[in-house]
Amino acid sequence: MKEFSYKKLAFLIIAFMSVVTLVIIGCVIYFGNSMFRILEEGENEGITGKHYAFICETGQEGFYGSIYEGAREEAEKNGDYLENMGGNHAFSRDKFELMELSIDAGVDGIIINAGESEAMGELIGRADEKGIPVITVGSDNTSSARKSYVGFGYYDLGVNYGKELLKSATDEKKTVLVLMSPDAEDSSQNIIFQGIRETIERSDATGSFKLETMAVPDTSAFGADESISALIMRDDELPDVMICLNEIYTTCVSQALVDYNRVGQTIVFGFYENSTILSAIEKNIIFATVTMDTGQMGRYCIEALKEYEETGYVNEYIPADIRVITADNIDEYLSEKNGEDKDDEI
Amino acid sequence: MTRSEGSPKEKSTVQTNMITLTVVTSMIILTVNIVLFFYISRAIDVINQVYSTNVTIGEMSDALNQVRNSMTDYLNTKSTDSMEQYFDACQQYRDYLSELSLKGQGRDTEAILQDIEGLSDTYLSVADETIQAKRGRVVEKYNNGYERSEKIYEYINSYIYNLNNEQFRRNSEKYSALRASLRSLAAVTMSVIVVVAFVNILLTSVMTKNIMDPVRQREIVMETHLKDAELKYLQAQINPHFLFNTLNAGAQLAMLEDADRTSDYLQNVAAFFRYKIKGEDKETTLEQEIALVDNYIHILNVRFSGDIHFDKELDKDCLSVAVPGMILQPIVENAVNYGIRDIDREKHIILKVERLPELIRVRVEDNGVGMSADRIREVMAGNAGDNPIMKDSNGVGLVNVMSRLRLFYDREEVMHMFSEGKDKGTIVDILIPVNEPEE
Repeated sequence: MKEFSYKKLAFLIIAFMSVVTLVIIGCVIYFGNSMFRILEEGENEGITGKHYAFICETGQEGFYGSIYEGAREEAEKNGDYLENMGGNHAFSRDKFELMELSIDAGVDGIIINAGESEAMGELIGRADEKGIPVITVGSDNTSSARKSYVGFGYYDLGVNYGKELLKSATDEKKTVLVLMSPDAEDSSQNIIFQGIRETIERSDATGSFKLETMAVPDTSAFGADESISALIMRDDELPDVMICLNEIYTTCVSQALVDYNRVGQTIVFGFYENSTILSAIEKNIIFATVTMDTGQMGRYCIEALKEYEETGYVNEYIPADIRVITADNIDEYLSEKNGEDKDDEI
Repeated sequence: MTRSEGSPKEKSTVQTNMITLTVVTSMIILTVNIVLFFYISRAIDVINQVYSTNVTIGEMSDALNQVRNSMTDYLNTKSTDSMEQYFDACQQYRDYLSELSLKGQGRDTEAILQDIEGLSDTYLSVADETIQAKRGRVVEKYNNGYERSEKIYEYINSYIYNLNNEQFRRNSEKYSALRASLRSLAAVTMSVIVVVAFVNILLTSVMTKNIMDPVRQREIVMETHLKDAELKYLQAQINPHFLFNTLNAGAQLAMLEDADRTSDYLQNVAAFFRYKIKGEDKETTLEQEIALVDNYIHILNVRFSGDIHFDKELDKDCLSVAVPGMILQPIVENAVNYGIRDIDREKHIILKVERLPELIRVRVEDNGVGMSADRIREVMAGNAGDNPIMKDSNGVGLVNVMSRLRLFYDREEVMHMFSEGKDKGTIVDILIPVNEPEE
C-alpha cells in the first residue's frame, strides 16, 4: 500500500514536471517567434538598388496613380524604389517644388508628367546637370533635356477623338465643345484639338461639326467641378458633343448630367477611366472614353531609366497604346481588366 | 521488529519526496520567472529601440535648426562666434545624420532617409557657399544662397516631419503588437503559476495523507509496544531474579539442614521455572523438553506423595531433534490433571520416543479416565469451547501446542489422540518429521 502510493506520487511529479516543461517550452517558442516577428518586421525589405522619384500633378491621382503603381512594381523587381514625391508629404506642393526637391535630394532618376512650360524645362535642365535622368510621362516637355517621353502622341489622341466623332456624323450640323484646362502654357491640349479638327477636316463630314473650345476655369481648388456644374445647369441647350481632355472633367460632366437630369442631351467623349466613368459608359451617359494601358506606361518609364543608365541612350519617344472604350466593347475591357487584377493577386 | 527497522527508511523516503517536490516546484516557478524576465527585458529593448530613433530624429532636427540659426546669425552679424557655432552645428548635424540608421524599417522609411541625406548634403553645401559669399561680400550671391537654403531647409523639415510620422505609425504598430504579446505572455505565465500552485497543493495533500496516516498509526503502535516492552522488561528482571534467588536460598537452607529431598525439590522447582521463563517461542531439543517433564513430575510427586509412576522408553538417537519449546510439559500436565488425578488405582504415565520411517513419534500415555471419540474430535478440531483441556493450565493449552507444532513443521499432521473409552486411558502422539524443518 505504501509503496504503491510513493510510486503514484513519483508518477504524478514526473507527469506534472513534463506538462509544465512542455508549457514553458511552448511559451518560449511562441513568444520568441512573436517577438522575433516584431523585431524583424520589414527587415527583408530594403532599397538595394536605385531610388527614383515620381512626380505628378495633384488631382490626377487616378490616371497617374495607376502609372505610378505600374512603375513601382517594375522598379521593385530590380530592388529599386520609386518614391511618390507628392503622395508622401503632409504639405501639398506643386510639381515644380517637388521637382526641385527631388533634384536637391539627389535621387537617381525622375519620372514626371512635365507639361510644356519653360520653368519645367529649366528644372529638367538642372536635373540633367546634376546627372539625374528625367523621363516625362503623360505630358511631355519637348524642348527640355528630358531623356525620354512615355505616353500617347497628343496628335494621335486627337485623331482618335476625331474618328469617334465622325461615327456620329449626321446631316444635321453638330456643335462640339472641347473642355480644356486654362493652363496657357500647356500646349498638349492644343495639339489634341488640332488632331480632332484636322481629322474632321480631312473627312467628308467637314460641314457636320462646329468645333468650339472652352477653358474650364479652375481658379479655386475645386473650381473645375463648379464650372462644369454651372455649364450643365444652364437652361439653354447643351452642345451636341462634349469632349473632356482629362479624367476630372470627364467624371464631373457625367456626374452633372445625372444630377441635373440631362442625360441623353449631349454626347460625351471622356478621357481615361475610373469606376464612375466606366459605369457611365455602361449606362450610356458617356459615349466613349479614350484610355491607355497605364501599367504599361509605368513599366516603360522604369525600363527607359534602366536603359539610359546602362547604355547612356534611350528612345526619345515611347508610345503607349491608346484604346477607345464604348458601350460596345466595355464588357471585353472589364473582363480583361479583372483578369489582370486576378493575375496581380496571384 | 520489522516496524522499527522500516521507520527510518520510510522517513528518508518521505524526506526525499518532500525535498523533490519543493525543488521541482521551485524550479518550475523559477523557470517561469526567468522566461518572463527574459521576455520583459527583450520587450523593453524593443521599446527602447522603437523610441530611440524618434529621439535621434528629434535631436537631428534640433541640430539642423542650430545650423540654420547660426548661419542666419552669421549673415546678420558676421561674428566669429556665430561662425564657430555654425561649424559646430554642421558637425553635430552630420554626426546625427550618420548615427541615424533605419535599416530594416521598410523601404518607405529608407527612402525618406535617403532623401533627407541628399537634401542635407545640398543644404550644407549651399549654406557653405552662402557663408563664403558673405565673407567675400558678394551680396547677391549670399542673398540667393540664403533663399535657396531656406527652401531646402523647409524641404528637410517636411521630410523629418514625414519620417517622424512614419516612425510613429510603425512604432504604434510595433507597440500594439508588443502589448498584445506581453498581455498573452502574462496570461500564460499566470496560468502556469496557477497550475504549478494547484498541482503543488494536490501533491502536498496526497503526500501528507500518505505520510500522516501511517505516522500517526505507527506512533500509537509504538507507544503500546514501548509500554509492553517496559512491562516485559520489568517482569523479566524481577521475576526470575526474585524467584531463583528465593528458590536457591530455600535449596541452600534445605542442604544446610540436611534435608536432601527438600533441596532436590527446590532445585527441580528452580529448573522448571527457569525453563518456563525462557519462553515458549524458543527452539529447543527433545532432550531438554524431556528434562523439563522430569522436573515437573518430580514436583508433582512431592505434591501427590509420589504416587505418579513416570516411565520413559527413549530412543536415545532421537533426543537431539529440534522442537519448539514447551510442547511436552503441557501434554503431561493434561494427562495428570484430566487423566490420572482422580483415579484410585496406580497412576501411570509413560513417555515413549520412537523412530518411525520419516518420523519421530513422541507418545504420552496414561491410564486415566480416558476420553470419548467425540471429545477427541472436538479437541483435535480446536473448538473445544470452554472445555478445561483448552484452557491454559500452566500458561499453555493443548490447542496452543498443536498450532505451534503446525507452524514449526509447516504440516497439518502433528498430533494424534487416542482413547479406547472410559477408564481405558489416553494416548497423545506428537509426530516430528525428520529433516523436514531443514528443507
